[in-house]
Amino acid sequence: MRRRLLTRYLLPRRQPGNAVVELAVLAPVVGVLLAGLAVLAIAVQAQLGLVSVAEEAALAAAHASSPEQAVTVGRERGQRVVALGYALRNGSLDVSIDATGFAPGGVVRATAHYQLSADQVPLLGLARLDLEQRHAEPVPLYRGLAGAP
Amino acid sequence: MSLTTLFAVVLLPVLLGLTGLVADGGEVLVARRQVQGLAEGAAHAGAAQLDTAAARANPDGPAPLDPRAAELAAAQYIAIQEPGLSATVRADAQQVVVHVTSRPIPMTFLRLAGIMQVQVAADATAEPRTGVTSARR
Repeated sequence: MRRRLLTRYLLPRRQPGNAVVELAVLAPVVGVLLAGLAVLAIAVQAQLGLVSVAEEAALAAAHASSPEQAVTVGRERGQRVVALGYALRNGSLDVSIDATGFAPGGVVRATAHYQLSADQVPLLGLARLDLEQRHAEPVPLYRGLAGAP
Repeated sequence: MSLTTLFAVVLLPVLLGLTGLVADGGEVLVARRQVQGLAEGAAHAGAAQLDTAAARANPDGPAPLDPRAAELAAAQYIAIQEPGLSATVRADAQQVVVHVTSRPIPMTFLRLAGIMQVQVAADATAEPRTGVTSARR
């Protein structure tokens, strides 16, 4: 009698279907969480790359000889040289140089923009991330400049 | 309680917390890299400010820094960056020491644990180098 009561109220019969249903509900949630982790890792890696791209582009621009050259050299340095090393190579990287302050003792500014496209972020193709990084670099004071404003 | 339910109860919050930690941690990591770069750039800019009069008076010795000019150059380097950074700069005739603190970084997930924002800091030191005493051609 006691055993029957125990079985009836405290130890319900095994229900094998429950586990399958629970797993079916949980698996997508876990999958999305894991995909989110992957997206975050990719985004952080890209953002760290952008920090270096902006720094190097601004530094190269600050050591150019003229405002026009600052733009060319800065973009070249950021877009072609540094970005490849950080695997920012989906073609969306845009490095812009603001050389309006280019003069001895002046400032040049670099802005790096990168877009993580849907095929790079494993979140069902729904996500598209825009990343941006800025850096300013002073132009050395004692410089012979050709064509500075 | 089935194994799957146990998994949901125990591991799902852990996984969620881990995702939050990666999100906020990643942001902190990027900010740390950024302020480290700024600290190094500022120290580098400061270490370029030589005391030319002292260097000319003693051309055989190591060129000393102009501490005031070095501190000014390092502070200006920080000032031209995006606002919100704070820095302390110390310079003497031998070196420039820069300490940069980031702007407060608001936390997204860690605020659930009571951490609303985080600031990261970085240090950098630079010394002047002058003169090439020998070179290979």
